[in-house]
Amino acid sequence: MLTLGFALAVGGAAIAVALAGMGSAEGVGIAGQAGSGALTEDPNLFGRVLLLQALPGTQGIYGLIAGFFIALKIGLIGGSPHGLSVEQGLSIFFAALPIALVGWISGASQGRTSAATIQMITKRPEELGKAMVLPAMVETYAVFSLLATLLFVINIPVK
Amino acid sequence: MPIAEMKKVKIIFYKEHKEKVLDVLQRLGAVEIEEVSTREETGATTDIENKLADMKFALDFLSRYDVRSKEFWESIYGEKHYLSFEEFEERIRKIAFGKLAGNARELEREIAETKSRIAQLEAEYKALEPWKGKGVLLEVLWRGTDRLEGFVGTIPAQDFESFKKEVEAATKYAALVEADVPQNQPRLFALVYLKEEAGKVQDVIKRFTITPVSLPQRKGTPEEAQEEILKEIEEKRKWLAELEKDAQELARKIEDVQLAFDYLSIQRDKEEAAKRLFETEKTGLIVGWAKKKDVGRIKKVLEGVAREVEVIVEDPKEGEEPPVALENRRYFTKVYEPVVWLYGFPKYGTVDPVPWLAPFFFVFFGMCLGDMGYGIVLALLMFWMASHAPADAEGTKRFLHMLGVSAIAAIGVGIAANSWFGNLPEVLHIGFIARIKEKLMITDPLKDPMPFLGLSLALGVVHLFLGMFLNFFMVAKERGFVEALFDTGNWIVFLFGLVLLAVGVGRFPVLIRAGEYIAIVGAALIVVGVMRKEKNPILGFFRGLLALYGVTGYLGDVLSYARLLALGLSTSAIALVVNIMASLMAGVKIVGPIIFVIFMLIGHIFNLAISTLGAFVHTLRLQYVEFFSKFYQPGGREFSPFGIRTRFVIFRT
Repeated sequence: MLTLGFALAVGGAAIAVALAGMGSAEGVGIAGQAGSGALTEDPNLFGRVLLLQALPGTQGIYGLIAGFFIALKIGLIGGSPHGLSVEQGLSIFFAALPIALVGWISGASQGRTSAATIQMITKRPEELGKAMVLPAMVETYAVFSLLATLLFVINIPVK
Repeated sequence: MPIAEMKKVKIIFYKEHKEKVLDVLQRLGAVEIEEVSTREETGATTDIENKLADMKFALDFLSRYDVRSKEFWESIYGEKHYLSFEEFEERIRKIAFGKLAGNARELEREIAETKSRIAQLEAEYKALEPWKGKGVLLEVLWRGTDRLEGFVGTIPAQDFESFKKEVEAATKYAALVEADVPQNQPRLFALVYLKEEAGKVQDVIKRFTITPVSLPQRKGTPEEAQEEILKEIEEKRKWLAELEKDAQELARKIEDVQLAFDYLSIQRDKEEAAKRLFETEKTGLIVGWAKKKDVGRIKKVLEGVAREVEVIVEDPKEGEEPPVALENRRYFTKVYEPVVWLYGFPKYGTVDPVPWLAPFFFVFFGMCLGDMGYGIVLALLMFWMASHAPADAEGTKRFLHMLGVSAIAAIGVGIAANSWFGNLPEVLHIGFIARIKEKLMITDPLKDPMPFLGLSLALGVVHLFLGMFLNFFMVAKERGFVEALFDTGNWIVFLFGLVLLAVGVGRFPVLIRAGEYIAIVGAALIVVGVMRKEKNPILGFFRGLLALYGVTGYLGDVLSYARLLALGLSTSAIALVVNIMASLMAGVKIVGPIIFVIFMLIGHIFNLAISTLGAFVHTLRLQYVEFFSKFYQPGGREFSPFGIRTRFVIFRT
């Protein structure tokens, strides 16, 4: 049976996927612009550029995972929808906010960092390792927010 | 051993043998000649470099006029010619290098000139358009006559009338003709006046914002001039067609140009190598690196050149950094060398990561692509493309094999995860295949992602521990067991304890106990490890406690492997959607099945492409960011021996 609480929980899952995905889309897009510039100078850098461009994509994946977690928990996937109270639904909605918001903002931030490291490897192609670590540092916060969301969601009593 | 052992090679010879020694060395292709850092670079290009540049120009130019139809694989991998050394030298002797390059240059220059002249003429024609039917005589305007002068210019529309009035007022005789211009443009006019009144006319002109315009310097009316121009354009176009036919004729010889280009490249490389010789008055010395296993062959061939050629072989000295060549023998390991090519070679003497990452790349790629149908298609495609690669595209071939092998993993994962082009057997209502599919399935992540997620994270933990163990052994080898213990060993212990805790929670209380103890021991080792390096023990203790905070980094690393689930799921999910949407369309009368097939093809090809790309990039990223960061030391220089490098010729031995 569909309740308002259930709808709110779905809203949480949706927001996690959507906002985190937006962040990654923006980030990967920004990095891609820098990558195009790098490749006009030296097309041989393609493999490395592609890799660096993909780094900000993590937030979208984390959002998806958070969304799945919630969907599973509330029976949206793989089961029947639980009749959630408004309080339960709202709790889940709020629990989804960390990965949603942090994924959104950090995706773009990581994208800008990736763009900068792409420029770095046009001058120093051999420093791919360092070029990957710098954007990965931004990801730390996305990881923390995913952790928070997952921990919160797991511990919200449902049923 | 995965990183080839290298030896220092010194070749001494009399100068009279220099050419032969270099030739033989180049054909061997087994010795990397050391850079001589003290030599200055002169800015001047050598004769050979100039000839090579000419030939490259001819190549580029003639490729545009090359009308031969290319075989499919040639257009992908490039044109290749298979010749023996003797055949190659025979053909080179018959090529007139200078003439080829010279003709190409001349043709190009003339074609360019003709094209630009045609463009010029077309511009002239256009410039005369506004004057059609106005009855001006052009030569009066730009040359004048004994008594008359002309001026052509533009003026803002609103000023035109006042300008006209003032000119008429200021002069005895002046003729003003307006040309046809579009509505909101400045007015274009021609003014003819007596030479003696030039001053007065100039005064009037200066009082307005008038921009002079220069007309084509032709005679007669605009119509007559335009006809003349058209005739000229026609002539030039005919001439251009002739030139282009000549170029196509010359392009028939493009194979000669390709051979010449390769020949000159080889000579240029030899010239470069010769710069790296040490020379005295009568002797020469080459210093370089070679693989230990090639040394015997090198000695035999070189010392066969002349009695006075001597090859000395030495071990690398302390502090020297020989170039790095990877030498993985087993096929399954060799195909993953491209992972290291992309990232950077390991430092000489450190670990070659390829054998360690191979199984993980295989499995992770499989999990990310996660569909049996896509795995089969991808594997077939990769091996098919690789089989048609020419002999000198070793790198590309290796890469294609890497993807092909990894695609096989996807077949296995797809079967286990209930994904055969998504749910295609069910959609097509092929009962018996659907039943087999279900029987072989182990877990369906679309119905219950948890097992798949658990597997992803567990494999991640194993991957990370492997990285840490590799580091442990590397540090132990370099700096001793104790150093390794307090550098990496402590973290291994600590994290292992935590893993036991995490696994045991809720299920095996004994593991919780064990985990707690082990984790505490590990934490203590970490704190002690920091205190060892700190002079002040109290400060060290707190610093040590702070260091434990690093556990969050490892946590993040483990969570990163959740992407295996996400990517695998997304492949299956999109495949499902494609199937569902195609089935909806199949219901349409008559054309339904056709639309169904087309939609399936497009949809699945699209999904295959993006899923493969995602699987490749993210699997690679897991190796680079999570795995390599634990132990890998890049910075090695790739072994690049002095040899024959050609673009079009492949030598048959």
